[in-house]
Amino acid sequence: MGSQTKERIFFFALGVPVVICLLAFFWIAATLFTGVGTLNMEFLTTSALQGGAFEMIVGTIYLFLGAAAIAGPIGVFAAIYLVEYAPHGKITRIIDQAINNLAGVPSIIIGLFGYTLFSRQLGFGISLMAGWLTLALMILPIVIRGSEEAIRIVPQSFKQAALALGATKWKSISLTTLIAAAPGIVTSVILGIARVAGETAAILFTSCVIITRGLPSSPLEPVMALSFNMYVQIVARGAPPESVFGMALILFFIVVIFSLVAIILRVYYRKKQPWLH
Amino acid sequence: MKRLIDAGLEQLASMLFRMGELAQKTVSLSVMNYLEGTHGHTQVEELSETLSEMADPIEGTAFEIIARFQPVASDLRILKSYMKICYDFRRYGRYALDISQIYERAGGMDECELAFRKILKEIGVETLNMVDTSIQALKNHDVELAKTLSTMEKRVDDLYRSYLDKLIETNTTTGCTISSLLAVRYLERIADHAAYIGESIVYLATGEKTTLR
Amino acid sequence: MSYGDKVEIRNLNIWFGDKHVINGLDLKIKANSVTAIMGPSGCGKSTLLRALNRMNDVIKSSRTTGDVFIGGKNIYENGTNVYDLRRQVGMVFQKPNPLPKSIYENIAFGPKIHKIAKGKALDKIVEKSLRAAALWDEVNDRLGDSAFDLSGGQQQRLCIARALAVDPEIILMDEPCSALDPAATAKIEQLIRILSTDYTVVIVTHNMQQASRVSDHTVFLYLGDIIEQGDTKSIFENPKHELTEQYITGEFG
Repeated sequence: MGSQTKERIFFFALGVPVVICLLAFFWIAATLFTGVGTLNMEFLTTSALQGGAFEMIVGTIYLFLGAAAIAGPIGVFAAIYLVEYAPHGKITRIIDQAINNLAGVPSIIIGLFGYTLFSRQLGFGISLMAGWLTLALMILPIVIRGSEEAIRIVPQSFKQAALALGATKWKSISLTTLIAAAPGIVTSVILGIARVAGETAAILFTSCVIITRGLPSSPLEPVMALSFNMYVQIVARGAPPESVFGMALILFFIVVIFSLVAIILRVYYRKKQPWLH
Repeated sequence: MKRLIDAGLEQLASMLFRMGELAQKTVSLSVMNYLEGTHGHTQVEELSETLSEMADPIEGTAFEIIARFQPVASDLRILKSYMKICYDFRRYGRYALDISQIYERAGGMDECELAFRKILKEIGVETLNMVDTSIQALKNHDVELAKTLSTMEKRVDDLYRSYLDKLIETNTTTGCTISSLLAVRYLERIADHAAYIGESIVYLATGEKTTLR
Repeated sequence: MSYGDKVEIRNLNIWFGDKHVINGLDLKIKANSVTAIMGPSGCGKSTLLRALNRMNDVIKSSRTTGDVFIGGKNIYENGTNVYDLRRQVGMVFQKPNPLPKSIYENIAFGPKIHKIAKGKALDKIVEKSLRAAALWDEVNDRLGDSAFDLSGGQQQRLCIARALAVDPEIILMDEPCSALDPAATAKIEQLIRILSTDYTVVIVTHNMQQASRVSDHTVFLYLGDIIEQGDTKSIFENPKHELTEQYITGEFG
């Protein structure tokens, strides 16, 4: 077999998984789209008390925004510490391993942990706050890893230049490295959001209820969410899958949009980072 | 492993040594002709001509080395010295020609008194010694040998002065006067240039700027 | 310290971990001159240079003993303000390292962090520095452009302007031309000579011809020791030390 034929075979063979992924994506989208009939402005803006999805949509948004607001700063500062300040050795390697492990913990276990610590021991009960803290645990490893990566690829020369001009270590990092890594950091937060926007198990017993009276007025109140509601409809109420395709489609869109935004940001900022090449 | 510049320096050295040997031959021939009263002007003329033609290529090679290799330290001193010595060799040839010419036109030592002839011979021999020494010292970059030129030059200087004094004493002018006066002058100049060569050798080897005269 | 000496180094020793890189070195550097430090790779030239603005402190495994007097003050004394030292002693690196900002912001960076000037005063400093680095004419109409749009030689002049913006007394240069083409190198060398009238320049170079072209004094460093130092003319015409002679005539290096 000539090497050119071999090349062609490999090209196609490697393309197959990509095609499968694309097909799966479009099949899911198509299936969900059958529920597009139930989607109209009324459905989106009416309260659940009248059969609408308003509180669920807003609840989902509250949940992931709050979680990101908590996990974002903590994750970024942790990443800065790990890359720039921590002495590189056994301890940092253990920490890295721990972060990776956290990323791999099944969400139901995180939910259980959140319920035990935040809901019961800290007394937040079933609330937005408990949900925020639990979801933050899931976003955290993504933000830390993404930010670490973004910080690591910034050339050391910027810091050196700043130090040689008389900047303190923190200034040399915050005024050069951080600014240069910002796009990558923001992208990692957005990816974290995309991860938890549709999370169900983690919010199952930490923050969601089947129905609420309007939007929560404080973080200590429980909240409705799209993913939770889909679960309840099918499991508790035995409704046919098609009936929730509308909600599923909304959730699907939210996640897809956030992922797309992350990709677009990445591409846009790549041009503004000439030092990358 | 040899440096790039070494090939150039070797080539330059061999060109210079050849010129030196030829200069030595020319001076030797011219002075011996004068002292022994033999005719051989044409030969001296030819040698002198060849000598002149050897100078330009040597200078050209030296400048090429400077342009291409940016020499420093001992390499630079060698180049500087070799260019000076090249000029000194040209002067050897020139004065040898002058001595031969004056012999042709005004005759040699035959009309001179014995006393004069003796001094002339001493100066001639000492000068030839200096020329030989200068070439030898150059070939080996021999600083000690080069320094001996100092004593030799002093001797030639003393002999020259004593000859002049003697000439001034005798109040008459003969064929001997003109011929020997000029010859002795040229010999003294050859000796000077031999001393210059010695100075250049000391400089090239040690970086010291000395005076051997 | 005698008049005319800007820097005096006494018994400087520097270790990186167990490696003894600079061995009990003494050196005086004259004010308003260009001093070149030359030597084969790995002999400690950059380390010595970085001792003058304490940039070695940034390397965790480094240890320094000895004294370095700049303008009469020992910069290794306890309580020295390292940040002000680095303002006073500027540095230009081997590979041009502009910050990922505009040309203007690059130059303004130093004055901003040291709170030297704002607004119009800052604009003046930026212009003055760019002129001093022979770059103003080429960039004055595009100060807002990214510094990375400049050519290699221009970027290096930008880095020089950036160092000048905080009004240093000494400028350290670590092989500033090694990443540049001959034309850009020539420009920088001319600039160095001009700068020496107002500043004290110390330049590390492994290019001997550059050392001989650009400097007034030359120091030959070998394996952490100064083998020979003196005015450039004598070193290159008639070095006293055999090792120096061998190095500059290219017998090793």
